[in-house]
Amino acid sequence: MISFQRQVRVIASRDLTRERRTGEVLWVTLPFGAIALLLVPLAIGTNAPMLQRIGPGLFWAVVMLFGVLISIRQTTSETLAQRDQLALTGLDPAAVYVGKATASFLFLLVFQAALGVVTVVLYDVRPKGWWLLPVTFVLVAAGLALLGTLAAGIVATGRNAAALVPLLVAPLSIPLLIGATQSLEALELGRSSLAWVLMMIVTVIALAIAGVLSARPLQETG
Amino acid sequence: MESAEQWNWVLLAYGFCYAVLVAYVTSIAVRISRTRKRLGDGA
Amino acid sequence: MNATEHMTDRPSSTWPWVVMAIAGLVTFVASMTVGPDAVQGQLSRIMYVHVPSAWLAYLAFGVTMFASAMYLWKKDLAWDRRAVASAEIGVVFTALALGLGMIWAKPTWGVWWTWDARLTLTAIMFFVYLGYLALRRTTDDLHARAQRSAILGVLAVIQVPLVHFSVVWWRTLHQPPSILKPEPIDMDTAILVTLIIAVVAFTVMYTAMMFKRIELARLEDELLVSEQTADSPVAGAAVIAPAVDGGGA
Repeated sequence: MISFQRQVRVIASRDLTRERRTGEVLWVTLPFGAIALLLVPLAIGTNAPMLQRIGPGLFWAVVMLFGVLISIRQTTSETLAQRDQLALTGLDPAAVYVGKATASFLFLLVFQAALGVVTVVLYDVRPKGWWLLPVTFVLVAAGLALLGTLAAGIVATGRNAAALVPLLVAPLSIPLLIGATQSLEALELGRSSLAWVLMMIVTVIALAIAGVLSARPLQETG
Repeated sequence: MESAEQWNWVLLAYGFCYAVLVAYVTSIAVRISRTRKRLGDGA
Repeated sequence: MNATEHMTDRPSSTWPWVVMAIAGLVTFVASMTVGPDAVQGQLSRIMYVHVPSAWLAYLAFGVTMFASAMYLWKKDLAWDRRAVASAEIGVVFTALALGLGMIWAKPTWGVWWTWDARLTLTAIMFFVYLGYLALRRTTDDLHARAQRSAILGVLAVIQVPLVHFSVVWWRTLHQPPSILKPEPIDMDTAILVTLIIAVVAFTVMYTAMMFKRIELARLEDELLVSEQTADSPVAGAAVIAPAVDGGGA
Protein backbone atom coordinates (compact mmCIF):
# COMPACT_ATOMS: atom_id res chain seq x y z
CA MET A 1 0.00 0.00 0.00
CA ILE A 2 1.65 3.22 -1.10
CA SER A 3 1.86 6.07 1.38
CA PHE A 4 -0.65 8.90 1.66
CA GLN A 5 1.88 11.45 0.42
CA ARG A 6 2.77 9.33 -2.56
CA GLN A 7 -0.93 8.97 -3.44
CA VAL A 8 -1.33 12.73 -3.21
CA ARG A 9 1.64 13.22 -5.52
CA VAL A 10 0.24 10.74 -8.04
CA ILE A 11 -3.09 12.54 -8.28
CA ALA A 12 -1.54 16.00 -8.30
CA SER A 13 0.90 15.09 -11.06
CA ARG A 14 -1.98 13.59 -13.05
CA ASP A 15 -3.75 16.95 -12.95
CA LEU A 16 -0.54 18.82 -13.76
CA THR A 17 0.05 16.53 -16.73
CA ARG A 18 -3.49 17.12 -17.94
CA GLU A 19 -2.87 20.85 -17.72
CA ARG A 20 0.37 20.47 -19.63
CA ARG A 21 -1.55 18.74 -22.39
CA THR A 22 -4.70 20.87 -22.52
CA GLY A 23 -3.31 24.17 -21.24
CA GLU A 24 -6.75 25.13 -20.00
CA VAL A 25 -5.69 27.14 -16.95
CA LEU A 26 -2.95 29.02 -18.74
CA TRP A 27 -4.68 29.69 -22.03
CA VAL A 28 -8.37 29.83 -21.16
CA THR A 29 -9.11 30.57 -17.51
CA LEU A 30 -6.32 33.06 -17.03
CA PRO A 31 -7.19 35.13 -20.11
CA PHE A 32 -10.82 35.05 -19.02
CA GLY A 33 -9.86 36.54 -15.66
CA ALA A 34 -7.69 39.13 -17.36
CA ILE A 35 -10.50 40.14 -19.68
CA ALA A 36 -12.77 40.64 -16.68
CA LEU A 37 -10.25 43.13 -15.29
CA LEU A 38 -10.25 44.82 -18.68
CA LEU A 39 -14.03 44.98 -18.92
CA VAL A 40 -14.68 46.82 -15.67
CA PRO A 41 -13.04 50.16 -16.58
CA LEU A 42 -14.89 50.00 -19.89
CA ALA A 43 -18.09 49.86 -17.88
CA ILE A 44 -17.44 52.27 -15.03
CA GLY A 45 -15.01 54.75 -16.49
CA THR A 46 -11.25 55.15 -16.61
CA ASN A 47 -10.83 57.78 -13.91
CA ALA A 48 -7.34 56.91 -12.68
CA PRO A 49 -7.66 57.66 -8.93
CA MET A 50 -10.93 55.71 -8.81
CA LEU A 51 -9.42 52.73 -10.59
CA GLN A 52 -6.44 52.84 -8.28
CA ARG A 53 -8.77 52.68 -5.31
CA ILE A 54 -10.93 49.82 -6.55
CA GLY A 55 -8.11 47.89 -8.20
CA PRO A 56 -7.07 45.70 -5.26
CA GLY A 57 -10.64 44.81 -4.29
CA LEU A 58 -11.54 44.04 -7.88
CA PHE A 59 -8.47 41.84 -8.19
CA TRP A 60 -9.57 39.69 -5.25
CA ALA A 61 -13.16 39.52 -6.47
CA VAL A 62 -12.00 38.28 -9.88
CA VAL A 63 -9.71 35.72 -8.20
CA MET A 64 -12.64 34.38 -6.13
CA LEU A 65 -15.14 34.27 -8.97
CA PHE A 66 -12.92 33.06 -11.78
CA GLY A 67 -10.42 31.03 -9.77
CA VAL A 68 -13.12 28.52 -9.00
CA LEU A 69 -13.27 27.63 -12.69
CA ILE A 70 -9.95 25.90 -12.15
CA SER A 71 -11.58 23.42 -9.79
CA ILE A 72 -14.56 23.00 -12.08
CA ARG A 73 -12.41 21.68 -14.89
CA GLN A 74 -11.88 18.67 -12.64
CA THR A 75 -15.61 17.96 -12.57
CA THR A 76 -16.52 18.65 -16.14
CA SER A 77 -13.53 16.83 -17.62
CA GLU A 78 -14.14 13.67 -15.64
CA THR A 79 -16.80 11.23 -16.82
CA LEU A 80 -18.72 8.91 -14.52
CA ALA A 81 -16.65 5.99 -15.81
CA GLN A 82 -13.41 7.78 -14.94
CA ARG A 83 -14.68 8.53 -11.46
CA ASP A 84 -15.61 4.92 -10.91
CA GLN A 85 -12.24 3.80 -12.23
CA LEU A 86 -10.47 6.11 -9.80
CA ALA A 87 -12.54 4.68 -6.97
CA LEU A 88 -11.65 1.15 -8.04
CA THR A 89 -7.92 1.86 -7.89
CA GLY A 90 -8.25 1.70 -4.12
CA LEU A 91 -6.60 5.04 -3.57
CA ASP A 92 -7.60 6.74 -0.33
CA PRO A 93 -10.40 9.18 -1.24
CA ALA A 94 -8.89 11.72 1.11
CA ALA A 95 -5.60 11.45 -0.79
CA VAL A 96 -7.45 11.95 -4.07
CA TYR A 97 -9.07 15.05 -2.60
CA VAL A 98 -5.80 16.47 -1.29
CA GLY A 99 -4.06 15.64 -4.57
CA LYS A 100 -6.68 17.45 -6.64
CA ALA A 101 -6.66 20.39 -4.24
CA THR A 102 -2.86 20.56 -4.41
CA ALA A 103 -2.91 20.80 -8.19
CA SER A 104 -5.61 23.50 -8.00
CA PHE A 105 -3.54 25.31 -5.36
CA LEU A 106 -0.53 25.48 -7.66
CA PHE A 107 -2.63 26.66 -10.59
CA LEU A 108 -4.24 29.32 -8.40
CA LEU A 109 -0.85 30.66 -7.33
CA VAL A 110 0.08 31.13 -10.97
CA PHE A 111 -3.38 32.56 -11.66
CA GLN A 112 -3.08 35.12 -8.88
CA ALA A 113 0.46 36.13 -9.80
CA ALA A 114 -0.44 36.69 -13.45
CA LEU A 115 -3.64 38.59 -12.69
CA GLY A 116 -1.75 40.60 -10.07
CA VAL A 117 0.57 41.84 -12.76
CA VAL A 118 -2.41 42.71 -14.96
CA THR A 119 -4.03 44.62 -12.09
CA VAL A 120 -0.87 46.57 -11.30
CA VAL A 121 -0.60 47.54 -14.95
CA LEU A 122 -4.24 48.36 -15.78
CA TYR A 123 -5.22 49.95 -12.48
CA ASP A 124 -1.90 51.55 -11.55
CA VAL A 125 -1.98 49.83 -8.17
CA ARG A 126 1.09 50.20 -5.99
CA PRO A 127 1.05 47.14 -3.72
CA LYS A 128 2.48 47.64 -0.28
CA GLY A 129 3.33 44.95 2.22
CA TRP A 130 5.82 42.82 0.34
CA TRP A 131 5.75 40.26 3.11
CA LEU A 132 1.96 40.16 3.50
CA LEU A 133 1.15 39.78 -0.17
CA PRO A 134 2.74 36.32 -0.59
CA VAL A 135 1.12 35.14 2.66
CA THR A 136 -2.29 36.31 1.43
CA PHE A 137 -1.72 34.73 -1.98
CA VAL A 138 -0.86 31.39 -0.42
CA LEU A 139 -3.81 31.41 1.98
CA VAL A 140 -6.32 32.46 -0.68
CA ALA A 141 -4.99 29.88 -3.13
CA ALA A 142 -5.14 27.15 -0.48
CA GLY A 143 -8.62 28.09 0.71
CA LEU A 144 -10.06 28.44 -2.77
CA ALA A 145 -8.45 25.19 -3.93
CA LEU A 146 -9.81 23.27 -0.94
CA LEU A 147 -13.25 24.84 -1.26
CA GLY A 148 -13.46 24.46 -5.04
CA THR A 149 -12.35 20.83 -4.97
CA LEU A 150 -14.83 20.06 -2.21
CA ALA A 151 -17.70 21.80 -4.03
CA ALA A 152 -16.79 20.03 -7.27
CA GLY A 153 -16.82 16.75 -5.35
CA ILE A 154 -20.26 17.48 -3.92
CA VAL A 155 -21.71 18.28 -7.35
CA ALA A 156 -19.64 15.57 -9.08
CA THR A 157 -21.19 14.43 -12.34
CA GLY A 158 -24.58 15.93 -11.61
CA ARG A 159 -26.40 18.14 -14.06
CA ASN A 160 -25.53 21.83 -14.35
CA ALA A 161 -22.19 21.24 -12.67
CA ALA A 162 -20.43 24.07 -14.49
CA ALA A 163 -22.72 26.78 -13.14
CA LEU A 164 -23.57 25.18 -9.82
CA VAL A 165 -20.03 24.85 -8.43
CA PRO A 166 -19.35 28.62 -8.59
CA LEU A 167 -22.74 29.25 -6.99
CA LEU A 168 -21.82 26.97 -4.09
CA VAL A 169 -18.31 28.34 -3.72
CA ALA A 170 -19.07 32.06 -3.88
CA PRO A 171 -20.88 32.59 -0.56
CA LEU A 172 -18.51 30.32 1.32
CA SER A 173 -15.43 32.10 -0.10
CA ILE A 174 -16.42 35.35 1.60
CA PRO A 175 -14.19 34.90 4.68
CA LEU A 176 -11.25 34.50 2.30
CA LEU A 177 -12.27 37.53 0.26
CA ILE A 178 -12.78 39.77 3.28
CA GLY A 179 -9.63 38.45 4.97
CA ALA A 180 -7.48 39.15 1.91
CA THR A 181 -8.81 42.64 1.23
CA GLN A 182 -8.93 43.74 4.85
CA SER A 183 -5.48 42.45 5.77
CA LEU A 184 -3.91 44.43 2.94
CA GLU A 185 -6.04 47.48 3.67
CA ALA A 186 -5.05 47.32 7.33
CA LEU A 187 -1.43 47.35 6.28
CA GLU A 188 -2.03 50.45 4.13
CA LEU A 189 -3.61 52.21 7.10
CA GLY A 190 -0.84 51.21 9.46
CA ARG A 191 -2.95 48.79 11.48
CA SER A 192 -2.34 45.18 12.39
CA SER A 193 -3.30 42.56 9.81
CA LEU A 194 -2.84 39.68 12.22
CA ALA A 195 -6.50 39.11 13.01
CA TRP A 196 -7.41 38.87 9.33
CA VAL A 197 -4.53 36.52 8.57
CA LEU A 198 -5.52 34.33 11.50
CA MET A 199 -9.11 34.25 10.25
CA MET A 200 -7.93 33.09 6.84
CA ILE A 201 -5.75 30.42 8.44
CA VAL A 202 -8.72 29.16 10.46
CA THR A 203 -10.86 29.12 7.29
CA VAL A 204 -8.26 27.10 5.39
CA ILE A 205 -7.93 24.60 8.25
CA ALA A 206 -11.71 24.24 8.54
CA LEU A 207 -12.01 23.66 4.80
CA ALA A 208 -9.21 21.09 4.81
CA ILE A 209 -10.86 19.15 7.61
CA ALA A 210 -14.27 19.33 5.93
CA GLY A 211 -12.82 18.20 2.61
CA VAL A 212 -10.88 15.28 4.02
CA LEU A 213 -13.80 14.08 6.17
CA SER A 214 -16.31 14.19 3.32
CA ALA A 215 -14.00 12.59 0.74
CA ARG A 216 -15.00 9.00 1.47
CA PRO A 217 -18.77 9.63 1.90
CA LEU A 218 -18.77 11.51 -1.40
CA GLN A 219 -16.90 8.78 -3.24
CA GLU A 220 -19.29 6.15 -1.90
CA THR A 221 -22.29 8.20 -2.96
CA GLY A 222 -21.82 7.26 -6.57
CA MET B 1 -43.19 61.99 6.22
CA GLU B 2 -46.95 62.28 6.52
CA SER B 3 -48.91 59.53 8.15
CA ALA B 4 -50.81 58.88 4.91
CA GLU B 5 -47.61 58.28 2.94
CA GLN B 6 -46.33 56.02 5.71
CA TRP B 7 -49.50 53.96 5.49
CA ASN B 8 -48.83 53.46 1.79
CA TRP B 9 -45.51 51.84 2.60
CA VAL B 10 -47.07 49.76 5.37
CA LEU B 11 -49.75 48.47 3.00
CA LEU B 12 -47.11 47.75 0.36
CA ALA B 13 -45.17 45.74 2.92
CA TYR B 14 -48.16 43.72 4.10
CA GLY B 15 -49.42 43.23 0.57
CA PHE B 16 -46.02 41.92 -0.48
CA CYS B 17 -45.73 39.71 2.60
CA TYR B 18 -49.13 38.07 2.34
CA ALA B 19 -48.96 37.76 -1.44
CA VAL B 20 -45.70 35.84 -1.18
CA LEU B 21 -46.99 33.61 1.64
CA VAL B 22 -50.27 32.84 -0.11
CA ALA B 23 -48.49 32.18 -3.40
CA TYR B 24 -46.05 29.78 -1.76
CA VAL B 25 -48.67 27.95 0.24
CA THR B 26 -50.83 27.63 -2.88
CA SER B 27 -47.89 26.22 -4.81
CA ILE B 28 -47.44 23.51 -2.16
CA ALA B 29 -51.13 22.61 -2.37
CA VAL B 30 -51.05 22.50 -6.17
CA ARG B 31 -47.89 20.38 -6.21
CA ILE B 32 -49.36 17.97 -3.66
CA SER B 33 -52.54 17.46 -5.65
CA ARG B 34 -50.61 17.10 -8.92
CA THR B 35 -48.22 14.53 -7.45
CA ARG B 36 -51.07 12.57 -5.86
CA LYS B 37 -52.80 12.46 -9.22
CA ARG B 38 -49.70 11.18 -10.97
CA LEU B 39 -49.21 8.55 -8.28
CA GLY B 40 -52.87 7.55 -8.56
CA ASP B 41 -52.61 7.25 -12.36
CA GLY B 42 -49.37 5.31 -12.30
CA ALA B 43 -50.29 2.87 -9.55
CA MET C 1 -46.72 3.53 7.31
CA ASN C 2 -45.63 0.05 6.17
CA ALA C 3 -44.16 -1.00 2.85
CA THR C 4 -47.43 -1.77 1.12
CA GLU C 5 -49.21 1.41 2.13
CA HIS C 6 -49.05 4.38 -0.20
CA MET C 7 -49.16 8.07 0.58
CA THR C 8 -52.24 8.37 -1.60
CA ASP C 9 -54.19 5.97 0.65
CA ARG C 10 -54.35 8.71 3.27
CA PRO C 11 -56.36 11.85 2.59
CA SER C 12 -54.34 15.05 2.61
CA SER C 13 -54.70 16.81 5.97
CA THR C 14 -56.29 20.24 5.95
CA TRP C 15 -55.59 21.43 9.48
CA PRO C 16 -52.21 23.00 8.54
CA TRP C 17 -53.93 25.31 6.06
CA VAL C 18 -56.39 26.40 8.73
CA VAL C 19 -53.62 26.99 11.25
CA MET C 20 -51.65 29.05 8.73
CA ALA C 21 -54.64 31.22 7.94
CA ILE C 22 -55.31 31.84 11.62
CA ALA C 23 -51.67 32.68 12.30
CA GLY C 24 -51.63 35.10 9.39
CA LEU C 25 -54.80 36.75 10.61
CA VAL C 26 -53.52 37.05 14.18
CA THR C 27 -50.35 38.77 12.97
CA PHE C 28 -52.32 41.18 10.84
CA VAL C 29 -54.77 42.12 13.58
CA ALA C 30 -52.06 42.49 16.21
CA SER C 31 -49.84 44.69 14.08
CA MET C 32 -52.69 46.91 12.91
CA THR C 33 -54.19 47.49 16.37
CA VAL C 34 -51.03 48.39 18.25
CA GLY C 35 -50.13 52.07 18.46
CA PRO C 36 -47.49 53.60 16.14
CA ASP C 37 -43.93 54.11 17.33
CA ALA C 38 -43.05 57.57 18.63
CA VAL C 39 -40.07 57.99 16.30
CA GLN C 40 -40.85 55.87 13.22
CA GLY C 41 -44.59 56.42 13.15
CA GLN C 42 -46.66 53.97 11.15
CA LEU C 43 -43.54 52.53 9.48
CA SER C 44 -42.82 50.63 12.69
CA ARG C 45 -45.67 48.28 11.77
CA ILE C 46 -43.46 46.81 9.04
CA MET C 47 -41.26 45.46 11.83
CA TYR C 48 -44.01 43.05 12.85
CA VAL C 49 -43.63 41.10 9.61
CA HIS C 50 -39.99 41.85 8.88
CA VAL C 51 -38.52 40.69 12.18
CA PRO C 52 -40.48 37.40 12.30
CA SER C 53 -39.49 36.68 8.67
CA ALA C 54 -35.83 37.19 9.51
CA TRP C 55 -36.18 35.03 12.62
CA LEU C 56 -37.78 32.24 10.60
CA ALA C 57 -35.15 32.54 7.89
CA TYR C 58 -32.45 31.77 10.44
CA LEU C 59 -34.51 29.12 12.24
CA ALA C 60 -35.26 27.28 8.98
CA PHE C 61 -31.56 27.42 8.11
CA GLY C 62 -30.71 25.87 11.46
CA VAL C 63 -33.30 23.12 11.00
CA THR C 64 -31.93 22.31 7.53
CA MET C 65 -28.43 22.04 8.92
CA PHE C 66 -29.56 19.88 11.84
CA ALA C 67 -31.61 17.58 9.61
CA SER C 68 -28.63 17.28 7.24
CA ALA C 69 -26.38 16.15 10.07
CA MET C 70 -29.04 13.68 11.23
CA TYR C 71 -29.30 12.21 7.73
CA LEU C 72 -25.54 11.69 7.57
CA TRP C 73 -25.76 9.87 10.89
CA LYS C 74 -28.97 7.83 10.46
CA LYS C 75 -29.15 7.58 6.64
CA ASP C 76 -32.93 7.86 7.00
CA LEU C 77 -34.56 9.67 4.07
CA ALA C 78 -37.12 11.20 6.46
CA TRP C 79 -34.36 13.52 7.69
CA ASP C 80 -33.50 14.43 4.11
CA ARG C 81 -37.13 15.37 3.50
CA ARG C 82 -37.14 17.55 6.62
CA ALA C 83 -33.96 19.24 5.42
CA VAL C 84 -35.29 20.10 1.97
CA ALA C 85 -38.68 21.18 3.32
CA SER C 86 -37.03 23.57 5.75
CA ALA C 87 -34.66 24.82 3.05
CA GLU C 88 -37.44 25.68 0.64
CA ILE C 89 -39.52 27.38 3.33
CA GLY C 90 -36.34 29.11 4.47
CA VAL C 91 -35.77 30.58 0.99
CA VAL C 92 -39.26 32.05 1.07
CA PHE C 93 -38.79 33.64 4.48
CA THR C 94 -35.32 34.90 3.57
CA ALA C 95 -36.72 36.54 0.44
CA LEU C 96 -39.49 38.02 2.60
CA ALA C 97 -37.02 39.32 5.17
CA LEU C 98 -34.92 40.96 2.47
CA GLY C 99 -37.89 42.39 0.58
CA LEU C 100 -39.61 43.73 3.69
CA GLY C 101 -36.32 45.12 4.93
CA MET C 102 -35.97 47.01 1.66
CA ILE C 103 -39.55 48.29 1.80
CA TRP C 104 -38.86 49.55 5.34
CA ALA C 105 -35.47 51.01 4.43
CA LYS C 106 -36.59 53.13 1.50
CA PRO C 107 -38.93 55.51 3.38
CA THR C 108 -36.77 55.41 6.52
CA TRP C 109 -33.30 55.96 5.11
CA GLY C 110 -34.03 56.92 1.49
CA VAL C 111 -32.13 53.92 0.08
CA TRP C 112 -33.28 50.38 -0.74
CA TRP C 113 -30.12 48.79 0.57
CA THR C 114 -27.40 49.47 3.11
CA TRP C 115 -24.38 47.32 3.58
CA ASP C 116 -24.84 46.71 7.27
CA ALA C 117 -23.73 43.33 8.59
CA ARG C 118 -27.15 41.80 9.22
CA LEU C 119 -28.57 42.63 5.79
CA THR C 120 -25.43 41.43 4.02
CA LEU C 121 -25.40 38.18 6.00
CA THR C 122 -29.07 37.56 5.18
CA ALA C 123 -28.36 38.10 1.49
CA ILE C 124 -25.44 35.65 1.65
CA MET C 125 -27.65 33.11 3.42
CA PHE C 126 -30.21 33.46 0.61
CA PHE C 127 -27.59 32.40 -1.94
CA VAL C 128 -26.40 29.51 0.21
CA TYR C 129 -30.01 28.24 0.31
CA LEU C 130 -30.36 28.63 -3.45
CA GLY C 131 -27.17 26.64 -3.94
CA TYR C 132 -28.54 23.90 -1.70
CA LEU C 133 -31.81 23.70 -3.65
CA ALA C 134 -29.97 23.81 -6.98
CA LEU C 135 -27.77 20.92 -5.87
CA ARG C 136 -30.83 18.78 -5.25
CA ARG C 137 -31.89 19.15 -8.87
CA THR C 138 -28.69 17.62 -10.22
CA THR C 139 -29.62 14.00 -9.64
CA ASP C 140 -32.67 11.75 -9.35
CA ASP C 141 -30.97 9.12 -7.20
CA LEU C 142 -32.67 9.56 -3.81
CA HIS C 143 -29.80 8.54 -1.59
CA ALA C 144 -27.10 10.21 -3.69
CA ARG C 145 -29.12 13.41 -3.63
CA ALA C 146 -29.68 13.14 0.10
CA GLN C 147 -26.02 12.40 0.81
CA ARG C 148 -24.69 15.27 -1.31
CA SER C 149 -27.21 17.77 0.06
CA ALA C 150 -26.49 16.69 3.60
CA ILE C 151 -22.76 17.16 3.16
CA LEU C 152 -23.38 20.61 1.70
CA GLY C 153 -25.72 21.35 4.58
CA VAL C 154 -23.11 20.50 7.18
CA LEU C 155 -20.40 22.34 5.23
CA ALA C 156 -22.56 25.47 5.20
CA VAL C 157 -22.89 25.26 8.98
CA ILE C 158 -19.13 25.08 9.44
CA GLN C 159 -18.82 28.26 7.45
CA VAL C 160 -21.50 30.18 9.33
CA PRO C 161 -19.29 31.46 12.18
CA LEU C 162 -16.52 32.37 9.75
CA VAL C 163 -18.80 34.18 7.31
CA HIS C 164 -20.58 35.89 10.21
CA PHE C 165 -17.42 37.12 11.91
CA SER C 166 -15.74 38.25 8.73
CA VAL C 167 -18.76 40.31 7.66
CA VAL C 168 -19.36 41.77 11.14
CA TRP C 169 -15.68 42.77 11.60
CA TRP C 170 -15.66 44.21 8.10
CA ARG C 171 -18.67 46.38 8.91
CA THR C 172 -17.43 47.58 12.31
CA LEU C 173 -14.41 49.00 10.51
CA HIS C 174 -16.56 50.66 7.88
CA GLN C 175 -19.37 52.20 9.86
CA PRO C 176 -21.96 53.78 7.63
CA PRO C 177 -22.41 57.52 8.08
CA SER C 178 -24.52 58.38 11.10
CA ILE C 179 -27.36 59.63 8.92
CA LEU C 180 -28.01 56.03 7.91
CA LYS C 181 -27.84 54.58 11.40
CA PRO C 182 -31.17 53.02 12.26
CA GLU C 183 -33.28 54.93 14.73
CA PRO C 184 -33.84 52.73 17.77
CA ILE C 185 -37.44 51.71 18.22
CA ASP C 186 -38.77 52.77 21.57
CA MET C 187 -39.50 49.28 22.82
CA ASP C 188 -42.45 49.94 25.10
CA THR C 189 -44.50 46.97 26.33
CA ALA C 190 -47.21 47.15 23.68
CA ILE C 191 -44.69 47.04 20.86
CA LEU C 192 -42.74 44.23 22.48
CA VAL C 193 -45.86 42.15 23.08
CA THR C 194 -47.01 42.63 19.48
CA LEU C 195 -43.59 41.62 18.22
CA ILE C 196 -43.66 38.46 20.33
CA ILE C 197 -47.15 37.61 19.09
CA ALA C 198 -45.98 38.06 15.50
CA VAL C 199 -42.88 35.91 16.02
CA VAL C 200 -44.92 33.14 17.65
CA ALA C 201 -47.56 33.31 14.89
CA PHE C 202 -44.91 33.08 12.18
CA THR C 203 -43.26 30.15 13.93
CA VAL C 204 -46.62 28.38 14.03
CA MET C 205 -46.98 29.16 10.32
CA TYR C 206 -43.55 27.67 9.67
CA THR C 207 -44.44 24.49 11.55
CA ALA C 208 -47.69 24.08 9.62
CA MET C 209 -45.87 24.71 6.34
CA MET C 210 -43.31 22.07 7.30
CA PHE C 211 -46.07 19.48 7.72
CA LYS C 212 -47.41 20.09 4.24
CA ARG C 213 -44.02 20.51 2.59
CA ILE C 214 -42.77 17.23 4.11
CA GLU C 215 -45.94 15.55 2.86
CA LEU C 216 -45.13 16.88 -0.61
CA ALA C 217 -41.54 15.62 -0.32
CA ARG C 218 -42.76 12.13 0.63
CA LEU C 219 -45.15 12.10 -2.33
CA GLU C 220 -42.46 13.28 -4.73
CA ASP C 221 -39.99 10.68 -3.48
CA GLU C 222 -42.63 7.98 -3.89
CA LEU C 223 -43.35 9.18 -7.41
CA LEU C 224 -39.65 9.17 -8.24
CA VAL C 225 -39.26 5.62 -6.96
CA SER C 226 -42.35 4.40 -8.79
CA GLU C 227 -41.11 5.94 -12.04
CA GLN C 228 -37.69 4.39 -11.62
CA THR C 229 -39.03 0.93 -10.84
CA ALA C 230 -41.83 0.98 -13.42
CA ASP C 231 -42.16 -1.98 -15.76
CA SER C 232 -40.01 -1.45 -18.79
CA PRO C 233 -39.22 -3.83 -21.65
CA VAL C 234 -36.49 -6.37 -20.94
CA ALA C 235 -33.26 -5.56 -22.71
CA GLY C 236 -33.14 -7.35 -26.02
CA ALA C 237 -36.91 -7.83 -26.16
CA ALA C 238 -36.92 -6.42 -29.67
CA VAL C 239 -34.80 -9.29 -30.91
CA ILE C 240 -37.00 -12.18 -32.01
CA ALA C 241 -35.99 -15.63 -33.12
CA PRO C 242 -35.62 -15.93 -36.89
CA ALA C 243 -38.33 -17.97 -38.61
CA VAL C 244 -36.73 -21.14 -39.94
CA ASP C 245 -38.64 -23.64 -42.11
CA GLY C 246 -38.84 -27.23 -40.98
CA GLY C 247 -38.07 -26.83 -37.29
CA GLY C 248 -35.14 -25.56 -35.21
CA ALA C 249 -31.51 -25.04 -36.20
